[in-house]
Amino acid sequence: MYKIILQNSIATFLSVISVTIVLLILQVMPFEIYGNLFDGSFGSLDKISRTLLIATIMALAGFALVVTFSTGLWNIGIEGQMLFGAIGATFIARTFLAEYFFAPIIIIIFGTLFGSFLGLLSAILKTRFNVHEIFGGLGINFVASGLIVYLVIGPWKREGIASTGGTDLFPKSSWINGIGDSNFPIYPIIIAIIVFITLFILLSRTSLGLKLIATGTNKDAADKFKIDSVKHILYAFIIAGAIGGIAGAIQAASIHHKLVPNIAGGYGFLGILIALIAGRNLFTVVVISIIFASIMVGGVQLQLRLGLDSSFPYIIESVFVMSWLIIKASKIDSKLLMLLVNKETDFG
Amino acid sequence: MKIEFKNISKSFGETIANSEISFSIDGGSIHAIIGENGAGKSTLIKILSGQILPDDGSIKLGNKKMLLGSTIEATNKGIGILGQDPLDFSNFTVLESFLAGNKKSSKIISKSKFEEIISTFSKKFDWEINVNSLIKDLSVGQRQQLELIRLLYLGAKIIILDEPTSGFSLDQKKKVFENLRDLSSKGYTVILVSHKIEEILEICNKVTILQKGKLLETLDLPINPKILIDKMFGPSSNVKNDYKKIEKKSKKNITIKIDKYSDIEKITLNEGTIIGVSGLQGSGSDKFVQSFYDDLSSSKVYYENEVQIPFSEINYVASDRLEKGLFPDMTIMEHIALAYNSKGLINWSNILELTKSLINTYGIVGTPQTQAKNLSGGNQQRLMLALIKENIRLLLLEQPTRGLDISSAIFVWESLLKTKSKKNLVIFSSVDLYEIYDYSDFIICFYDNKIVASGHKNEMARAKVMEKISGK
Repeated sequence: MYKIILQNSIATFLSVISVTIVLLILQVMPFEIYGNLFDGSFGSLDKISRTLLIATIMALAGFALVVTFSTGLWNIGIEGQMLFGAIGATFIARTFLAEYFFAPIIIIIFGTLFGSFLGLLSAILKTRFNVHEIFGGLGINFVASGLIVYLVIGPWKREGIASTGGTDLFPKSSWINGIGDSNFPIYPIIIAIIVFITLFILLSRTSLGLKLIATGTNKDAADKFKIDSVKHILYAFIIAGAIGGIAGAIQAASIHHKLVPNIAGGYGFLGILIALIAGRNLFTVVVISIIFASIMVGGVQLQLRLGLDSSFPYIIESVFVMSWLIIKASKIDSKLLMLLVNKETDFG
Repeated sequence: MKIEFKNISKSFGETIANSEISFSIDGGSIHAIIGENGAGKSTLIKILSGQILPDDGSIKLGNKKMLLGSTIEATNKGIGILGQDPLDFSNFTVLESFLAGNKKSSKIISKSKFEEIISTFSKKFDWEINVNSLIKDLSVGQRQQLELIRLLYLGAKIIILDEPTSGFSLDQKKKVFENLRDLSSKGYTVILVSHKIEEILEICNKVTILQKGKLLETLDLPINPKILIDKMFGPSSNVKNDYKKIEKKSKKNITIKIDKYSDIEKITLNEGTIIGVSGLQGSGSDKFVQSFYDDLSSSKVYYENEVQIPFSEINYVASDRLEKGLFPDMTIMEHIALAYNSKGLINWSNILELTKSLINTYGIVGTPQTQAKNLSGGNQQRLMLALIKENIRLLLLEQPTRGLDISSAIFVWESLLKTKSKKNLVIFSSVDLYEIYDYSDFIICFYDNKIVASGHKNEMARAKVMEKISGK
């Protein structure tokens, strides 16, 4: 466990160095960029709140990928699951329940249910109809975004106008905001921490988690251990969908306060990148999510202050991900760690 | 070409696999390397074939030093290895798999040419291989035959056989041995890694004994087998097993439904019987054993009152240990947790204790954190036995001692006889007729996916069983 964290720290450090080199090649001052990114994302309580909220959503998306990763499968349907979570949230926000003080709790629960339903759908396509999970997930994403557009300009349109601008705002009682006037996303963070702890226990301390991983490594052997691999794939996707649904519900109830067609905001796909980096390590998901969120949020300032192109944050992110993958594939991090620790260990 | 090992050392973490091993193998000879489970045979072979880079030492081929740690170098120098688990592509046909591993061909592949090559070789060796069948439908023995053809075709001059004959049937083995003698007389060097002393005495010119990673001795053959066994295990070891019959007090009957494989609908036996399913590789004996696990509609075992043994009390031990029986990337501890802690939270400290005691009881060479893929074949089988729970009433084993050294094989059977004493039913398949006669009470003979004979051991003459499984 420590080994992985140390290795990942080294990999992060090296990736930042390679981002720096690319920035130097592009003839911009790296430290000016980092300074602005930091200032833009952590410079004030407001900025911190925004960064953490985005990081929370990315981390949840990343967690959703980690769960199916442990069974050796990709949860590409994450965007769709987030959209469905948001639809679930909106469904509640449009009923009388939204007026009560406990509305946020019901919104999260419904987001979870809607998301897990979509996760289940991916898994059924995979196990029952033998559709590869990547294609199934992509298809489901299209279906979900089609449905959301239909809802926004159809049955849930605003009084008198049908626009893709979104539905009516949710009643204030159903917003998931900070305590009092504060913007600090305390509740989303609490939810993410609960998900983190639950997943951590699930994957490292329960037999269900071990079975999920076992299914992922060798289906034939799982059969000899009387592990029903179909059932465990279903479980993994239901759990992943539920987490995606939570992320979507938070998007709707904390950020937009209404349903908009683009409510997943591409965070699901970023979640895929995050999981690509983190593998099965939940802690790394959290760290990378915060880094990515600060690049996204702070990136706005690059445009304003330095007059850089709006694609700059994406360049930084992509170079980061690519460097990371190269470092991991060539095992540079573990070799360096071995040198640093300077003792013989079996890193293989 | 003479092969000279000099001071070869290799350790994995704290485990010393090879320690300063020096000896030489004459060109054109058949040389055996023997030793107990974990003696370092496989490591040495992997170093010779370039799969592992030794920590120290050198290898000379003829009078040239070999570049170590490179499989390409080894292949170029004509070293071909036939492993315990054949390296092939299970979804390919025989022909496709052969083509995929072939570096000699030009970009344009002539299928008919290769069909001819395969059939010439198999005719020469008197083997039956259909080039259009899928690899996954072949027996392990047939797959190894195909590998040998491929190695010879690629120009291997030094052929390493790592526990190969455990996959061969008696007939196949006889043929392969003839072929090997023939090859060595033509100047090929054959290195045979084996646990079977009879085999070594039958075919080899010299034998090198390894013990706990060290070279013990290189001996000229033939030699008195007793001396060889004593050297390998120390003088007090008792290799031949004479287990006393366990008294059958219980007369409770158990019935096996076999109508899918035979004209007879069912066999009724006493509880606590060991059924040996004898058949050559590819005879269907393995599939028969497996069907009691995954085809419960056709193969059933039930008690007098038609009560079937519940699925939760059936255990199936596959012969492809890493492919079908274990999780290669998971640790011993995680395997134990999967088998013994199948619900709720895992108490890892309890599992660690249990793992330690099982590692001890089953003599597994490894730590709780060792991944299954890093265990030797014998230790993998021991782990699989360690995973069998107490409540198992029907134990199914496919070739239980394939690739095992003598002490592991003895150990496997000790555990199995213990199971028998607990009044369960054991069904195992084996290509080794000695094994069938040593350990089973009831013998079923398989040929061409059908049961051709069955009966209690005392009613079945060895010669008759041999005939039956050969299809005569």
